[in-house]
Amino acid sequence: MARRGKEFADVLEKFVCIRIVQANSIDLTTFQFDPMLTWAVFFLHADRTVYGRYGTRSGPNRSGDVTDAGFRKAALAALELHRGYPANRESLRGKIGPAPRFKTPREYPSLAHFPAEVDVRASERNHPSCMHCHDLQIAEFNLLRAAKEPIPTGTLWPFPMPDALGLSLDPEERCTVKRVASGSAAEHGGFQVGDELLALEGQPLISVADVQWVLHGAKDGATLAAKVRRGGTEESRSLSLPQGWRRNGDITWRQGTWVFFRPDLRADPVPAEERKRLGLGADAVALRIHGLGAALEAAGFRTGDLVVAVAGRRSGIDSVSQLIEAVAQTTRPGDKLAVTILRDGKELPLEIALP
Amino acid sequence: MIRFAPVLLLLGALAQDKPLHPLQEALSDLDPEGEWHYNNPDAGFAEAKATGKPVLLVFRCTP
Repeated sequence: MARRGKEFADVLEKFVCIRIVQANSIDLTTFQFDPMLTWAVFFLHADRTVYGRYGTRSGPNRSGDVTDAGFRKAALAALELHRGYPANRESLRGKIGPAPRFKTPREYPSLAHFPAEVDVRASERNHPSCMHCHDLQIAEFNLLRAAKEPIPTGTLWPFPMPDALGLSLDPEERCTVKRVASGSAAEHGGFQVGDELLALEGQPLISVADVQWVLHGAKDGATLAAKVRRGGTEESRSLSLPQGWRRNGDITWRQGTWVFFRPDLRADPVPAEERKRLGLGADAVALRIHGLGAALEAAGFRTGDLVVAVAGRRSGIDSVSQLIEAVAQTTRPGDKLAVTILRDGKELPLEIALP
Repeated sequence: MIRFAPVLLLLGALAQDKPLHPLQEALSDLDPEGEWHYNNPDAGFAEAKATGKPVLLVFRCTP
């Protein structure tokens, strides 16, 4: 952005700009963001009050999640919040989360070997002294695994997209509803295409990332208070979060999850009619494999196989992401994962060697 | 305009002489838009306090 910033010159000149190129010594109390982002922006007051975040990544190659127009609108909205500060201070309190486990990344045992600062002469890509943001998620998973603690659902599915609730926002806008899925929590909450989301749980919103931030801290079963602008009028809405709503998301691309399960299985749930034809219940495990890595092929899996049981479970797993969740919650490093597949009408027990 | 040309040239020369942060040099961010603090948030926040401007802080790895 600094280098191709001519089109943002009028915006950037209104800010003091800071660029951080590695995670080695970042302040984890203030800077809580999705560690899988390749580009994350915070807008703040000099006293480190956060006005908002910008930067979203819904999948491995979703470059459309961030746009020039969306960034500009977020920056202008941050300037508006700056003009309203400190009168709006109370509404911004939630923009910083609860105290993190560690104040800086190097306090994680698995990250202690990184230096506090990277030698700038070693600033080339993937230099071993340069801690990446995604290393933080891996460190958190490793710590929980070493302590034999369960992996919280919110840690496995961090910074959920509002799409998990049927609410798709337009990346070209600040926070405008682009689609509402039929039968979704968003539809039940009365959201409509074109609604402009102004605040969620009292926090002013400047971007999709701000919505993700509120969702990141939300509990299953909670009802979030929303303020929307529709046709020039401000209205109150509510968004109820059903149990397990995060589990609709995709975590297979998140490098941190590879601690539990190597990213070499691609499979999708089979449609309801096919389940019925196969004599499987509506909530039965039924994942059709359409892509395999060499290790799984060597273990006997084939493209076209139907996964019907994972670690003895025959229900409640409806995606590879949910399979990873089952692995994270129930296995130890180096375990063998028992998987039953259906091939040519016969069940076949196979095993996956876990990392 | 011509009257101001020497002043503009001098300002241009001063801008050229401003030392680059070593990291800025390493990243080849030789002509960034705006004034950037590289890997030094404390300096950035101090400037924001002094100027009354808000802060835009970017986390971005080396490309």
